[in-house]
Amino acid sequence: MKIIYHCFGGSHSSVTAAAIHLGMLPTHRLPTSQELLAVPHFDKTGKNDFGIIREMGIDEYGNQVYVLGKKHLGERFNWVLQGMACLMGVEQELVVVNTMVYVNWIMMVRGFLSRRAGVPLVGRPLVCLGTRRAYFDLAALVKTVKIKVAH
Amino acid sequence: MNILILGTSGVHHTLIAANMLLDRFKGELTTMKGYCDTWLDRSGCPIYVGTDRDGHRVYTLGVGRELKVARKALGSMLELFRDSPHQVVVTEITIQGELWIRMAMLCSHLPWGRRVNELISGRVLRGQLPRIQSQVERLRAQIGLASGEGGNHGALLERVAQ
Repeated sequence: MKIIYHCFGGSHSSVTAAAIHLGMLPTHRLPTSQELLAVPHFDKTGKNDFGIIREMGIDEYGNQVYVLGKKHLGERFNWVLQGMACLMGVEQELVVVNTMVYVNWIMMVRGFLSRRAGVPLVGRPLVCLGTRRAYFDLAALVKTVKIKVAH
Repeated sequence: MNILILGTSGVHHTLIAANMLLDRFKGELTTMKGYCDTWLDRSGCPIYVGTDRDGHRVYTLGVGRELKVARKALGSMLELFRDSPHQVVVTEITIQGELWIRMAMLCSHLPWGRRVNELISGRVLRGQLPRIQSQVERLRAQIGLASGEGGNHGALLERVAQ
């Protein structure tokens, strides 16, 4: 099974969810900023990474976990990927998870500072704060995904 | 083989291209099934248009303004599922005046919106038919090559636009 977590930039909420899924981050407590920043791909998306499915790792059940930045493709993107999987005949092997629903305004401000205003360092403490605020929601989402995948 | 025609809209120029590919297009836009149906387009699912004489199933997919991102994502999917049971060829159709088409689609939410959408889109698309036709001819040639390659792996074709 391949699991793709996707969000706007593919560098914060999706990466955090994938890291929780893979056990790189704890589920019972908030991670520190250092722990978040140590996660591969966290806050490191370049403009050429949009649309590229990047591997995060393999979970304890052998499922491959990926992240993806979709920019403005919105809610429909789940169906785009699932539809493509159907055409390829692999719909049973793919789970697509939208993490945008848990992105808060702090994370959005950070995205703006980084991508539009070009000041990534100023936004780094903000993204850790925003991610920590959304953290337990993302952990709950991952738990749901793991249950779904197990069945 | 499945052929997925990607564009900013799945119910305008891509639908014309799909019908041209299927040799169904007779120059009349409004008689095409799904034409200007923005609700169908917004679902995000590939829209099945028909099957050609070689048994290739033809679909369209509209992804709005993020065409480049969607193209890369679908290319990544093809890489990820390299050994998939069905071969999928993804290609892209572009026209001039796509901004007008997007604006026409926005009008669909208004009263008489579908009619306004058809009027604006029709005006833009009629002028772009030769361009779409030439892209379809190139697509036909590329599909022939992709079919001859053998194996089940899909392909992300080079953009067929001029």
